[in-house]
Amino acid sequence: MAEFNEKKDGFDRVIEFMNSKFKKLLKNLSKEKKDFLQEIRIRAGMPTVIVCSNNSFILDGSESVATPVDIKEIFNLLCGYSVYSFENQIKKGFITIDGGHRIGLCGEYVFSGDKISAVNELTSLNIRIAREFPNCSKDIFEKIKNDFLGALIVGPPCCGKTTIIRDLSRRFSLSEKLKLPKTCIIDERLEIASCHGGKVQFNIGLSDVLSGIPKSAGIMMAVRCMSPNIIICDEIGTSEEAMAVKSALNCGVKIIATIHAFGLDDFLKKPQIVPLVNSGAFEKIIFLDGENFGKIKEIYSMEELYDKNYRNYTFNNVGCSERIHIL
Amino acid sequence: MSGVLSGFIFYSKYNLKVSFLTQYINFITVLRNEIRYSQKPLVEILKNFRCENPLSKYISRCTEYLNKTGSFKKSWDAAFKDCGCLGISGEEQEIIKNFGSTLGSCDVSGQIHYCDYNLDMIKPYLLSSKEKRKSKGKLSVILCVGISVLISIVLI
Repeated sequence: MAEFNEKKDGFDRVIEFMNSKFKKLLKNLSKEKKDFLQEIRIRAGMPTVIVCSNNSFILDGSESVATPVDIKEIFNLLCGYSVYSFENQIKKGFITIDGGHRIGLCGEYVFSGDKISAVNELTSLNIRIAREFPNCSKDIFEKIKNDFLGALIVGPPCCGKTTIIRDLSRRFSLSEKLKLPKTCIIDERLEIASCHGGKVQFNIGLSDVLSGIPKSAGIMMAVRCMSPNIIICDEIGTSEEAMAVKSALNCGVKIIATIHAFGLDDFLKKPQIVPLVNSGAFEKIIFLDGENFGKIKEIYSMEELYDKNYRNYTFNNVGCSERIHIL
Repeated sequence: MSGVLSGFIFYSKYNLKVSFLTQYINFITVLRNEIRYSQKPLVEILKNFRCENPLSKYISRCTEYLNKTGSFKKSWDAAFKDCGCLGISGEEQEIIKNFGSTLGSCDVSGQIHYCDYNLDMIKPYLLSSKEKRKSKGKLSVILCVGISVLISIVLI
């Protein structure tokens, strides 16, 4: 575990990828801001904004205004001068660098048919700093470990869903009480374990990692090749993923996944939850408190969710083994 | 003795050029394959690339500069300046310099095309320098040895 303690803080790591102008600018931030920094938003011709966990700040001075050249330089540094090695990620609008930090890209996207073929002239970068919070999933783990049949973690963006499932993977895979369950992480965007140079960058215990693979294909591959007890993946939602989740469930694998939503009301309005809930893979739906990191707001069992008969949604009150219908 | 030495110096000049261009072509071929099949970042490819001098010196300088300059183009050019006596002419230098400015700046198919284009550009120079080494290199050795023998006969 010494290796993880020696690892550089997320902020220090991200600073290494900045050009000299932004390196100087960001190094001058106060310690408090550095510690709570979540995002650095760099826009061409506009002052840089930093988003901390409690507030957002516009950086003062003309130096904080990024030029297109600055954005290009930072982008090249982030790519390690090798744009081609991030080709597939760039086409999806982001890149994930060493350390699991994800960078959102805005610019002029060039289409060939209905597919993105290139990105011209980047106009803004959103650098999201990944941090590790050991034991942040303690409450969730305690709630679900005994009668664990799959859990869906629901929360607003930037509330720590990925950090929580990373910690959950560590806890489950190292749990001797649960007989060291075989845990497999499907890390499509290299954010959960962030494998670089053949090493995981975060402490994920004894979990196996499938990196860079689409979640639906990764779930099936893990089921076939790794015989896992638990599969963990982030931001699930498409119909293919729901199908894969159902197939994994049929093979006796438990799933822990996350999904974006601001609360139960918002969750129930999302069309992509229908196939996921119908799959019957998620015994517990855990809603996170967006304001307090790692805190549980509400937990629903599937039966409770069916019973809720919420607003204009109608559920069949028949238990989790039956399908639900959302009108 | 000095005549023989100067003959071999002329020959080694041609030899250096051939050796550099051959290694450079090997490097581009390896680079192309790594980009195509493993998509490893340039820094990693450069660090793992094993070759002999004079190219190894050039590659290691380029890797060193990458940590300092923060730009691949600048590092490539700076390494080129440092390793001045590679025995290659102005045109060949331009081709190699231009390659550095496009490296790592686009997607995989673009990079492969750049590599192919650069190989097509540089290969004729290797062929001609091999021919030159064969004809002029040997000729210079023979001439210098001949002249030195003649001078020694005259002196005796």
